[in-house]
Amino acid sequence: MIKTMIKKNHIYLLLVAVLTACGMERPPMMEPSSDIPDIFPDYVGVTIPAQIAPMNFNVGDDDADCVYVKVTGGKGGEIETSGKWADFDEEQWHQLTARNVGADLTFEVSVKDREGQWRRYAPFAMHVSDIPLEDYGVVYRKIAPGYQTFSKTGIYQRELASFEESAVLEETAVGGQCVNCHYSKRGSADRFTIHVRGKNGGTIVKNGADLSSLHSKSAKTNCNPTYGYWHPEGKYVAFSFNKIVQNFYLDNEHNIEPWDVYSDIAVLDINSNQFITSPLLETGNCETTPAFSPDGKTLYFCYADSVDMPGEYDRLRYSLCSIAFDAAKGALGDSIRVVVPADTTGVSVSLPRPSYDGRYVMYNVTEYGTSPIHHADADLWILDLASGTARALDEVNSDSSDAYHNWSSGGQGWFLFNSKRIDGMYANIYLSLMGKDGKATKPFLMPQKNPLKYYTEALHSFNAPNFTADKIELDPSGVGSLLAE
Amino acid sequence: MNIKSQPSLKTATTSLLMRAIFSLLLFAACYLFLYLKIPQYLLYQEQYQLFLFTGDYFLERISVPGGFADWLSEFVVQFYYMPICGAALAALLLTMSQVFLGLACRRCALADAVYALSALPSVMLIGAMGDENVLLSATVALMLGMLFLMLDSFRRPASVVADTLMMIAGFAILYWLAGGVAFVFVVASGILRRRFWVAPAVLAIGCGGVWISRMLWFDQYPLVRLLHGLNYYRVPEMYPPLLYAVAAVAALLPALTCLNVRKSKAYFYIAAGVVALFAVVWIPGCFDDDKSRVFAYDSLVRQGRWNDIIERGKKERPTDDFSLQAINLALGMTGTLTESMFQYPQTGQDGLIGGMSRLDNTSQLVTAEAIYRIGLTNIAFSTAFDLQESIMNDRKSGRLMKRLAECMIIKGEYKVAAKYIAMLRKSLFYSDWARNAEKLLGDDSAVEAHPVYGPMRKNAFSKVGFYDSSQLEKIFAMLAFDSQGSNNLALQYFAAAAMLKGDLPTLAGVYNSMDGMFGEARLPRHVQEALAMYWTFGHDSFDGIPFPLGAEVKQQTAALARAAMQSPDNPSAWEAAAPGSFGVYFLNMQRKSMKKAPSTQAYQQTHE
Repeated sequence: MIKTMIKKNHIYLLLVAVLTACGMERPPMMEPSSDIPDIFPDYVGVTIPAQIAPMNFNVGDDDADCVYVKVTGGKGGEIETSGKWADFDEEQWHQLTARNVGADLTFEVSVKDREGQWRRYAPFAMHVSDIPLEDYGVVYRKIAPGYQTFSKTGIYQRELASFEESAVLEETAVGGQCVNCHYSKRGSADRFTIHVRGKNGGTIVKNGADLSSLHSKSAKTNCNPTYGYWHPEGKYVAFSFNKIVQNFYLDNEHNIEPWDVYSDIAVLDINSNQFITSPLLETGNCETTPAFSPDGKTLYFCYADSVDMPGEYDRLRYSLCSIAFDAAKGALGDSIRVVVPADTTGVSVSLPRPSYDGRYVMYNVTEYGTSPIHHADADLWILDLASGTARALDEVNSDSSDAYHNWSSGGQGWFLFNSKRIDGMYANIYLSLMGKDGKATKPFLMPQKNPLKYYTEALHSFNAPNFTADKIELDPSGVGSLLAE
Repeated sequence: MNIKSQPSLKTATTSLLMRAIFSLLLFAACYLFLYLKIPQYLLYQEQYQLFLFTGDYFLERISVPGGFADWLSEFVVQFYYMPICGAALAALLLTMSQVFLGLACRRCALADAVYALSALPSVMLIGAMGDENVLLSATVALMLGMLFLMLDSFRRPASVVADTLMMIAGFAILYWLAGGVAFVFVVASGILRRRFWVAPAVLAIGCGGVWISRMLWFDQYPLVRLLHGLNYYRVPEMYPPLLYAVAAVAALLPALTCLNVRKSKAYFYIAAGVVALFAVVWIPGCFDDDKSRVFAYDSLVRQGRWNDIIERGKKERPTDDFSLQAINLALGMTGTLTESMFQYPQTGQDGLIGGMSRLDNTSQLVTAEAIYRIGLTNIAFSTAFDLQESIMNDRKSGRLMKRLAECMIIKGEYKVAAKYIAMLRKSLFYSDWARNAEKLLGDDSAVEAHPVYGPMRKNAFSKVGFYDSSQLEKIFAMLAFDSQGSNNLALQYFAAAAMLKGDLPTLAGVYNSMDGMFGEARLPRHVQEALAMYWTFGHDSFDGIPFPLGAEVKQQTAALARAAMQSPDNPSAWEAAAPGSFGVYFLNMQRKSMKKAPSTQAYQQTHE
């Protein structure tokens, strides 16, 4: 009886060994070349949080017969994978990154071509930061980068530690209406707003257990709330109300120029459902993209004098401005401070995002206009509030549009942004870390299970991404019913 | 025993033959109708999907209730690209539904008659095709539902519990495969098995199951939509009554098996006659003439059959913008737009290029084609992109995806083009094109040498400016100037846009400044007419006119002037004086816009 069991176990072990051997194809011993592999996404030398999902990558143009990767941690530990692309086991990956916080992971890549010849590349490293990224994930709208119409769209969330994506609110739940940007209180999963555009549209306000629908329009411009930002205390949300139009370029170099006919800013008092306004923010010119400072005492926004559009499209330039805000009184200040003037810098500023530690304001710079996502020259800039100096974030910028940045809710320097650098048209999410030295690390593309396949086949942009501290739980049918009322 | 069974065998053979002939006739009728009468509807359907031969595509479809029917439907609809094949497959599906329903109802005195009547749902679905938003998924779902019903009918009589369990299992599987048709199956099965109380209970259980599945997996869909089936109709949350009627007929037809009457062949012939009569009388009314015409023009534009469009235009003389856009494009592509456009009942610039509203997936199709061929690649791309995005059931389009790729090749945006081409390579009918297009990626010299893309890249708009549908004539003029005469279509469209708008100063100004730039031996006929008319506004003779006008044009213009003076409120007299000319269009346009004839008065004053 015992003999039989032993024999059976031997057979099982043999089977496991055979299967393992078949599953993991290893290259023969050979000297590495001096070249590092051409991998997609370009993860060479990036800094990652220990919590991030496996940084899977493809090698070359993905026609290799087999890719073998061994990852060795500077503080110990080793994992390996082989297959059509580098596809790491999630559990092993997290064990390795957790063990190597503050150290490098060294990637040794070997590739077997279709003729069966192996080539071993020079190793490269990723650094596991000792600064954690504590957010659950990122939340974004997936939408085809279209113009006047949209098909399947919705707000989705993606766990950063895995490849799991789930829908927060899809257009199917709200009668096919356009589901628009999600703005949360510092990444909160239960304090946020989502716009729904359409016949029964409105702004969904989730404030703790309360879910309400806001149907307000600005008194002066009769526009819907557009760009939003929550006050750190959670009692207010600043909105800009933008009357947006689009012009299509005739030449083949440019594409589209969205601009505001007019826009103004008001602050919603969540409790009273009343808007706090100021004539300084309802000038008849363009005030847009508000953002509160982390202490809640300052409201940043962008301002531009109206010009004769679309003829003077290249003269539309926004300055970064601020106005005081008194949360106790619920009142806006009586003067405007110009933080980054357009007239002297000769550029247009948009989307200010103060860091939660109060040290920086990150914003977008383009040559002109208010829609950085449509400008290939759009770059991220950083303003050091302590020194008052501003500079382009060349460490992360590319030749394509880099925009829609946001800081992680933990306030320790991780940030994300949209970039069209892969193909110039579809915006994808990149993450980077602003170091204590004021330098950002090389950004890395949000990992996917099979990144080349995913990003090649995806027909959507990741629109207006932000971090979410926890997984959002929203009842879509509740939203649908709320809007239908 | 043998002697007794002879007549029975003969009867059975006759019955089988009758049924076979009936089904073959149904197939033939469906096929001929689809292929010969409404091929444009088939092409219309095909252009709003892009079936991919990939596992991901299959998994994406079957991950929602009814998804298998959807997948199968899209597989079939891709063959609509060649209507001769697509029509056969669709006819086969419709015939299979009939056969399955007929066979399911075989155990009754009226079996032959019910077999004939079982064609009613299929006939109704052909009529439903008149609504372009009814998808073939509905037909596939019905076919699957009837297949389940037929298979269930082969099951031996069983206990109530067994029947109930089988019905629940059938409902669950069928609901997942084909969506809401599962309710039809339960009702029909309940009737055939005489389980009149079981069926409602199973229906209730089914509704409960759908509700639970929504709570667990499909919370982004309203319950009503899930119950109906997600993709029988292109417009979400709309449920056309005709589909309810089809479902009701399919579900309740088995009730005829409850009738206890004497067997007779006559019933079959009567039933077949009823079906045929119903089809002949009812189906034609389901297809709107205007819509059929629009689809026909669109399909001809898509296939580049310019001469066929012109011939059709001569016969039909349509006045809707869409058809006129197609005719004008065909005239432009054959180089005769400014020679003969006013021989058609022009209605204005909207009949040349549509406005910028792209909120539906049809009205801008021809405009998108015209804009592309004129060389406004960027506008063509955004128009095609929006047209694709406005497909109400969120599908992609092979036709539009190909256009997007073409635009990106012309623009030199190879990475985006590669994305679209990679997708098209996984299709059946676009893969050859995609393989060839792939060779152009990254190869500027190959693109520049390409007979279509090369000139388009070369003739691209060189200045930074915005598209403005109220300034079409100026945009086309700039495009024509930019190309130094090589973009003849832009020049034709400039003149056409200016004439349709009645902007004669711009027309005259541009032609004056060209001064033979484009090496035209003679000015196009309508341009001569327009310039002649414009000249007459300020001159009482053609002496000194800086444009080379033909004698016939001068005579005709003079004749029109006389007719306008003598009969200021009689457009027929104008038409008689200068048939099919720009002058008549212009005078009519002025008359309509002012509700009198101010330009005629001005015309008279000038000549007096």
